Amino acid sequence: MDIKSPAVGKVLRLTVEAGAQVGRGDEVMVIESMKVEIPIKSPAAGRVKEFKFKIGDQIQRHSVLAVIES
Amino acid sequence: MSWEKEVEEIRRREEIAKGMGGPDNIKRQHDGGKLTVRERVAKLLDPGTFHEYGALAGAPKYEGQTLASIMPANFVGGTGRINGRRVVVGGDDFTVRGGAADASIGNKQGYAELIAHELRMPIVRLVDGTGGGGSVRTFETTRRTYVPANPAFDVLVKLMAEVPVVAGCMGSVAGLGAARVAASHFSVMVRGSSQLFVAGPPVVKWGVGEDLTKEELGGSEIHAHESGAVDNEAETEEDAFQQIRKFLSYLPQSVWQAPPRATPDDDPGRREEELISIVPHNRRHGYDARRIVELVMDRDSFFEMTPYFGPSLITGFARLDGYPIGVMANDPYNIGGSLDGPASDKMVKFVDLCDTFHLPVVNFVDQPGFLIGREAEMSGTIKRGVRALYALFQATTPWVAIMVRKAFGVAGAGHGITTGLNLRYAWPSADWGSLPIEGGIEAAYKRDLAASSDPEKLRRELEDKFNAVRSPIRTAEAFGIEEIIDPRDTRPLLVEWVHQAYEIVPTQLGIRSRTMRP
Repeated sequence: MDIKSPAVGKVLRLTVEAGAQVGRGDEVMVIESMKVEIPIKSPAAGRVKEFKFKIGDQIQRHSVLAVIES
Repeated sequence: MSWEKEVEEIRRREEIAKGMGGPDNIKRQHDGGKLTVRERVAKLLDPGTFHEYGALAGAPKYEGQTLASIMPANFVGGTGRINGRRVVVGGDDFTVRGGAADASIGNKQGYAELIAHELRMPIVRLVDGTGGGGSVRTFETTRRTYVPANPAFDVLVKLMAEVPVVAGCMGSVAGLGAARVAASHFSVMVRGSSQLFVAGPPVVKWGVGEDLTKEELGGSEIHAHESGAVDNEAETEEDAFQQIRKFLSYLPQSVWQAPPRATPDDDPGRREEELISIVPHNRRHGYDARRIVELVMDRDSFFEMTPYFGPSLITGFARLDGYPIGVMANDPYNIGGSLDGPASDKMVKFVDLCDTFHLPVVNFVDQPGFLIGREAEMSGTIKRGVRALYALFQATTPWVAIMVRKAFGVAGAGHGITTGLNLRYAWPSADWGSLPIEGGIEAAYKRDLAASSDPEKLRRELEDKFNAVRSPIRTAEAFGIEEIIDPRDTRPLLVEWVHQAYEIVPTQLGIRSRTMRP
């Protein structure tokens, strides 16, 4: 399952590492948009298969940020 | 000589009408997870309040002078009550010719709109039919085509300025049916079982080559989340009816009446301790804007409208000491609460709606400005945003802003009608300016930064200098803000305001001169 960015901005930090197990609603990363931090939460329980961006990368609205394997 | 026999015949015909399109078609409707139009009307209205018109309308077949059979009209209409208040309700019957408008009988559908217009009461459309043209099969019998017309459209246009218009999109709805959903103040569709489109998958495949399912083309994911053509999404048909009933509870019967006050059930003087610390000191951190709304308004009175489209702006209805109001709040968790194209469109409709029905508005402001960047420019943010400001400046309904945090730029200035009294209360967390200090330094000191041997250090020095003058108390010294309040006093102050606002409302009743577009 893809986690898509809700907004244009940049990646501020990764809360968990790739491969980590997360629950539904757990924060996996934080992006910054319009000078406000936006926590990105997992839509489902599972494993973070990969992050598609690294810290500081520019992202667009609907960019796939991470992939969750249920 | 009694007329009993004739009355019996009328009752018999009414019973036939209740059979709709017959058991097979009703079963097909149920198998598709959908209710019939009569079940829908019964669930929407207060029990036993439906008064039907036109039950005898249908396509009869006679053998000599004897009625052999009659297929009922594919539209069921009448009046009834929602929470004890009168409404008109009309729904397409999908079990009769798929609810297609070309199979309609007389002006049965338009008559519902006329009742709403002339008797001045809300109308609920339960749309479950295809377009005005229906099917090309029609031409087999008519043996000619015709110039398209939108029936009763003049009445539809007038209604938006006069009475609450609600649409439930209950099935796969195309063409004129889709237009009748869009031409409303509030619309709702059912996730998974209702879809809306200009034209359905076969026509789309033929016309533009896209091969899509109904859900991919026009499901709630498309229209309640992305396009904004429909306001709310419901989990079930029953949920859709509950949302319609709730929406109407905040609105008057027409623009000639004030919105109805509910019996107050919450302490008007309630001061919530949570409000003193809900906004973080770190301006880059978000907070739950809906929580602020819930804490300030009457308990459990908040109903969110259009929750997914343009999500940086939260819009909905609530009550203060029983009085209905419109609520807007910027959501810092969505593009920082910026006004982008969709949020601007949402604001236009919401402000027009509140102003049309004389609902006073409370605006919780945390506005970093219009969304910036190339994509934002491409989507016409400035034009759509300015339209939102026009809606605000055209509004005359009582308005109050709570300056929760940011107010920057043209969009930030759009927190209220800044040329008049512009009633507002700031929280100590307020932060404002023509543009945010961080980005503003880049623009104003571009040359100095470029010439500096250590631009980062210079930027920090400049930021420190400007942050020192950032406190809203400095603004208050110059009467640039009229009042900074303890956030815990917000509810008592707004309750006082709403009583005053509702003394003004009765003096403003009637049609707004700008009328209203969907």
